Amino acid sequence: MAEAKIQVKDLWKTFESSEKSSGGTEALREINFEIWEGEILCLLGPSGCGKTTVLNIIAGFQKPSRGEVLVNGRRIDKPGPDRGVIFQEHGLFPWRTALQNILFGSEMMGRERQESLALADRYINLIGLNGFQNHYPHQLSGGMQQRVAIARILVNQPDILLMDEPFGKLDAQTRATMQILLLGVWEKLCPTILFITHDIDEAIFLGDRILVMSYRPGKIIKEFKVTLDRPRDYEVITTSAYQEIKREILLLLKGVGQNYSSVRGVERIR
Amino acid sequence: MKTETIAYKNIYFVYAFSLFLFFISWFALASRTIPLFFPSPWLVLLAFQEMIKDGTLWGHIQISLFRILTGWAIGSGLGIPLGLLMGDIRFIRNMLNPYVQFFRFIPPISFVTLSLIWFGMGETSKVVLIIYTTIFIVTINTIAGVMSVNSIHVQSALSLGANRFNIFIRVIFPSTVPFLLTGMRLAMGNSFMTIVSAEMIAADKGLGFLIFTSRLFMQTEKIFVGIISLGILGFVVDAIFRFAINKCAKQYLFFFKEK
Repeated sequence: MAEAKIQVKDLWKTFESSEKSSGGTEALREINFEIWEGEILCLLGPSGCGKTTVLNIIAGFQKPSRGEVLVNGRRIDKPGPDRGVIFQEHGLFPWRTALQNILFGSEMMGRERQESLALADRYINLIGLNGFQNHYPHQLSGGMQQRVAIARILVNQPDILLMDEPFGKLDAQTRATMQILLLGVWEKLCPTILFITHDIDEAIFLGDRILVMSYRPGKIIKEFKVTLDRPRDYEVITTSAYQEIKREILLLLKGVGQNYSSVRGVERIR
Repeated sequence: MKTETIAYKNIYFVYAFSLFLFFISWFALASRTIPLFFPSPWLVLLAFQEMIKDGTLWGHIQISLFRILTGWAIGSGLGIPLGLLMGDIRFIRNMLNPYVQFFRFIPPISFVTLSLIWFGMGETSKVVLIIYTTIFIVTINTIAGVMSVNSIHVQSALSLGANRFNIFIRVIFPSTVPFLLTGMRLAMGNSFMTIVSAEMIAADKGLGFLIFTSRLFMQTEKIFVGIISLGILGFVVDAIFRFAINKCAKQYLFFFKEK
């Protein structure tokens, strides 16, 4: 069997607290999973369950207290352009225009100007940013800002995308548009995607698999396979297969007594 | 027309009205006393005219401005890299912070005599004082800028392949621009204070010298000329600086418009 693209092995993370006696906050406990090449894996859990910490460790921004992450079989210890990160806050440089933001990665790689521009142009078209090249981030809507952030990452041609609730701050309609856009990009470029969300519908709509995490300490409590056909259309949410998965996840969360109100897309169930 | 009713909303009208009131009060005050004690606007205007005609005013302005701008430019040129390094590298910050925290409370004026002993009566001693005035304000503001860099920007840059040097040049420095510009504007204001004190004690030219020597000859209206020139000069220099920022560095100021 082929090796997984990303292997997360026995990850623990405890945040030291200033008071010695409390021994710190246990954020992650025994996290084990792998992501296969070209797969979209969704990490689903309530706010504060440590899913962002998992992403930060894979991205190389934070170090685990125990355990390790292998990417392409190699242990990672620092951030790198092979793993593009999309944050909830777009993270665009406000002093650069959309185009200049998109060119940033090429500058870091020392690409020729001509080549960088051609590459930027390609992803600007793919992401639907034409006509907005010279806008500064603050002049763009939330959805457009995230598009720039995605294009900026794609220019580096990473084979892994780490997405931390990238559409969490967008309105429902824009979020749906962005999800469809992301699936379109994924079908064209086939990157491996780790997608973090607290929105059950988003996880089912995008993911090949869903890992559900529990709240503090963050543990993976269950894995779901999403067998819905691809390419997926938004109508898929009305199918019985979709409803079945959603029901199972809801029941699972109810079983572990999670706070439903923090899971978006779900009315409080009592 | 509703012009009369909304006139107070027109900013230029309000400026003009305010100035009008100011000069009326000045005239009224001056009329109740002698020119030696409090000259009227008219006398001050005449003094202005005379000093502009014989070129002495421009001479004083020129030399004061030269000292301020030279010292301010050098001080900023030193303070910005110093602040960036101190903000970014903890070792350098810890090494230098005690001195910055110590010297920033010592007013430049207290160094006037030392500066004269060390650098002589010439321009150097005044320029050095302005450098001293500028450098701490610019450094401290720049450090504050580095400290408040958005960590998501740094993380974004890292995951886009930036190394530490690139982050310093292309993320930290641009994020710091609004802060260091604020520091430079504050430092400009303080430089005016320093130069006047320095010229009062040790100079044979400059606006501070003009104000101080006019006292000896009981030329109160010339003191007013010096004071008013300082105000106008400061206003003009700051306006030019702001204009230049808006022309050349506007994109960096959008930093504050986020969120």
